[in-house]
Amino acid sequence: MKVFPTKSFEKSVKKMTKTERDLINQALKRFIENPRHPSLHFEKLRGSPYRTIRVNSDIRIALIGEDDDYELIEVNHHDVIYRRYG
Amino acid sequence: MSLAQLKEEFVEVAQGLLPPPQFVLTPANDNEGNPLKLIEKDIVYFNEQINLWYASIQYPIMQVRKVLEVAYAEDPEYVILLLDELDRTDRVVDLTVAYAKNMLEVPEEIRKIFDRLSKTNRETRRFVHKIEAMYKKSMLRFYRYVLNIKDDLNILRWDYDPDARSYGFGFDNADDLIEHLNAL
Repeated sequence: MKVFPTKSFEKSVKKMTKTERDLINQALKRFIENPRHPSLHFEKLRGSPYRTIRVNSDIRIALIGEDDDYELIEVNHHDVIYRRYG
Repeated sequence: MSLAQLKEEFVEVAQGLLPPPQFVLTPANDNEGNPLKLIEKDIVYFNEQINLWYASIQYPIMQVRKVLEVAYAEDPEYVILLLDELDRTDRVVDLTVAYAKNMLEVPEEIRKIFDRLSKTNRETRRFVHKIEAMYKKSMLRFYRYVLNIKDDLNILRWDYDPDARSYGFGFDNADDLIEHLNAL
């Protein structure tokens, strides 16, 4: 699995708190090592090319890609991610 | 030609490139809230726009290639310094390097420079990997997104946002990714 951070993703990471950033790192580490890890809830959004992974109960990461290559688009609150990319 | 002149010429060419076309499809729904579907003429239009853009950047890319070739002929070390310097300048330049590599046959001598660079320090390796990744991914990825519309006709609003495009620099090692994110 290979991930490609985007400018928009990096901007969104910077807005997160230190604790949230630690959780984001943890989720991404899991994702690279095993995208099917149950805690990630890696899923495709309906009617959209985007997918999400779960950081915690409130935060999601939007990604786009296929096979083993994904671009990290944005990390944000659940509602924002689903509104923008769903 | 001095390094400063080379850099100036390179950046000038890079900045002359047109950005990829932007696509915004609206509205997502008709007046009754039913999803609208893309039709064949939309897809034809996308392809035409992309082809036009693709054609429009061919000449600047050839100029980029010439800059690299002239630089190499005069002094290969300059090319290494130039690329190293450009890495710290502007993203558009990175893209140009990638486009130059992607769309034109890369001269053997330039290929050798990249090979040599990749054997040096870590920072340089990362730069080379970035270019390599762009070379392999950027255009294919962009085309694939557009072509995906054909397979996913329910996508009715698709913004091509340049910010939502990777630098082409990917991570398959979690520790490297975390190091990168922590450094932001």
